[in-house]
Amino acid sequence: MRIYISAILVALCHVISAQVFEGRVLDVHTREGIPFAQVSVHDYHLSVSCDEEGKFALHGKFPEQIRVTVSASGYDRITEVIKLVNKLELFLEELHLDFDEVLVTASGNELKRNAISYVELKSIKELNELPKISMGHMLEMIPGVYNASTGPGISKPVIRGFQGIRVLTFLNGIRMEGQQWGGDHGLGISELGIGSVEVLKGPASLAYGADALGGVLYLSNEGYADQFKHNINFSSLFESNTMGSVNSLLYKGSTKNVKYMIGGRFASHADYQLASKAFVRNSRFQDQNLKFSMGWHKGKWVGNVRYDFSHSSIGIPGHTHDSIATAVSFLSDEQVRKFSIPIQYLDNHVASFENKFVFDKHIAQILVGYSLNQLIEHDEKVTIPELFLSTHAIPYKVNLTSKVGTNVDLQYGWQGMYLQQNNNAKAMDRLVPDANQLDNGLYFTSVWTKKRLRVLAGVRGDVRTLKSMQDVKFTDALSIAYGGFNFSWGMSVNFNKNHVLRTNITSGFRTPHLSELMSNGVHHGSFRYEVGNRDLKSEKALQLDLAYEFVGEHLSVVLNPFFNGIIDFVYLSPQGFTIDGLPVFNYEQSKSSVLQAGADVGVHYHPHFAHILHIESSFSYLDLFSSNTSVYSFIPQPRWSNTLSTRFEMKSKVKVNNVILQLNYFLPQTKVAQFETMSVDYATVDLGTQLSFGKSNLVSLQIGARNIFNKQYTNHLSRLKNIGVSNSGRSFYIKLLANLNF
Amino acid sequence: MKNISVLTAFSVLILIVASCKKESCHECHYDLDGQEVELGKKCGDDLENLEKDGYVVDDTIYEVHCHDH
Repeated sequence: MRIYISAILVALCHVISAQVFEGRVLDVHTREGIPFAQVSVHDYHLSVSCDEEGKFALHGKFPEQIRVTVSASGYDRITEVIKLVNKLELFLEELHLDFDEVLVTASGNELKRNAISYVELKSIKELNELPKISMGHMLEMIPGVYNASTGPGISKPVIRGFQGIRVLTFLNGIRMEGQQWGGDHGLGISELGIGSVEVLKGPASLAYGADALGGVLYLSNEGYADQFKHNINFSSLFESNTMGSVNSLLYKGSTKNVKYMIGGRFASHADYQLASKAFVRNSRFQDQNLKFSMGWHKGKWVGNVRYDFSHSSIGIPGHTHDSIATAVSFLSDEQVRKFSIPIQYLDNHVASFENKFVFDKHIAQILVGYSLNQLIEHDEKVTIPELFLSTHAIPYKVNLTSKVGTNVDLQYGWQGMYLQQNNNAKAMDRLVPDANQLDNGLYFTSVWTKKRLRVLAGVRGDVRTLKSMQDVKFTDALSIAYGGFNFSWGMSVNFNKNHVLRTNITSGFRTPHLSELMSNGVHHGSFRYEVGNRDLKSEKALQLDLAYEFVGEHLSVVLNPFFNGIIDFVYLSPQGFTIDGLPVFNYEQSKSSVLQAGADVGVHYHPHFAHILHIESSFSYLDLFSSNTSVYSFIPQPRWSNTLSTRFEMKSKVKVNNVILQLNYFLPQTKVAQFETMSVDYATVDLGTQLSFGKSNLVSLQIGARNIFNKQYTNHLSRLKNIGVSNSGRSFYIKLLANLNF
Repeated sequence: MKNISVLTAFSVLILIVASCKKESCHECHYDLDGQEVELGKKCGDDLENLEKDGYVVDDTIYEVHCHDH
């Protein structure tokens, strides 16, 4: 990495008062201004764009030293702490190959390439180059991340073979509590206003506490509009397979000290169509989303208020009254949009209030949130729900980062959450009792940097208390406490500007969930009668993660092998009899430990002789080693993803921006649990292009098709696999995007 | 003022788009000797009461189904 920053001229004073800081972003070699470069002050959620001569003006009151990121199309980005002076000159070096669009991690606020552990960091724009039907389908574009689905309307992220309660999802730092324990409950988050997604693979309890055993998804809002600017973004997608439409509108505005965004989204899909032309009955779904966010800064204080709402109506496919059910029982010749039962209604409210105090060498963050997840499931009656669960959560965090001397960065704090789960009296059944849960954890992390070597060491202690209430069905109340002690050690070495080697050892733990301890009833979406076990202990994991990264002028290579040992794994064990016509499963704890081993490998080649051509390939593989592998279900198929893209830089009024061809090959999965079936290999091909119109790309159009050869296939992680229902057939799409800046 | 106007207009537009709700109505029936006996389209409180209390014929309470799966 070549960073050339020079702070020209003399610092005006130690404490800077409100004023305008003017500066220029220049090419390091030619010393010419870089048009439309962007200067972002991440701690302040603030950005400005340069004019045609590379000049910018930053208005406001800031500490003497601030961290800025400077980026421009075709140039290497920089993130540095600089002394803020007037007539600042910032230099960027031209880059032949732009490998990563999003480079600053939300979790550590540092460049991805400087992070000690290897993280996957993608912008939603990048994941949507071939538009996807939902967030879950977008995420499966990331190496090592899969999608466990119940039709297109219900999708859950799978990281290194783990899903549900073993994968945590954070939205702008707030932990999502969306009934992840249920196999049929999706993410509850849309792409509206989301800028990037960061994936931490494997145990991450040091940073995220209990339950971060399989991995963490960290979703961050997109940036506010540039200072004194406004932006309106409209998009409309049509999908032929589900005759679905997704429409969204987002407005962003910014004054000197205040920034805001507000938006809405509406998606409606009818039943999806198989390659055989039949439609999967009751796979229809509808989403409504609202988003509001406002940020401000005053001196050292940076505040943010955020609110996200989603309402989803999701048909549950795989339901029949046929006495002898076959795959045909779940299909129809008619594509229907009108809802019928069984159905689930999901409401998610996520609000947060973040305060940050930025000092020269310290940053203090106080974050408090509130989330409400309401799940209503109707099975046999349209007015009386079978299940009606509300989960209220109040997460909180106090985090301090301090720079000690020039080489040491410390991070320490307190993180916790109060959670309350209630069953509504209207419901006919209750799968789990009412309960309260309180989490508290203290953590300390230090990072030592010496030239090209960075070493991280951290420890964390957590306590969780769980109390369930007594009622007619659950006659014995439960009161239990769990503790966890975790650590993380990591090292990254930049051998020279091209080679980076990372080694990380991380631990994680997951306490048994209320559903695993206390379930006693029909879990409708997953077609099981589940029985809990009060004697379960916490699961523990220890992972060694290695990553070698080469970034050359025309080639980028990532090798990311890992080994993850897990003890006390909790699983569902089939009992061989039925209750209410459904097979009974008990929660049990494996006596044998398991070693997960695998790798994610990625290559990106951009040949010198063909500047418009990009060839990307990634391979994700996971295997299990245990004396009893039959308890581990849903091990993802090895996946080989290949993308061939041509990216044009036209100057005409109608421009072809790119043409993208994608081939995903899934290898067979023969390692299956006791109640699972094996899966065969398959390949799908997607093709799409993006056109833009006008000089400032005001309007653009994406056109293409997924599964263009109409291949009939069933993914191993599809919950409809066991009833013989395949994944989607071919789908043509057209997406209109309008982006207005003023 | 301009910012507040734009923000307010967007808020109102989005709330209008997101807040439409219709009363749901369903065809209801009960099962008698293996045959479905139609009760017609029921809405609102009628629908809820039928599902909750069932349908009474000659002192016998029949469970009512109001869906088309």
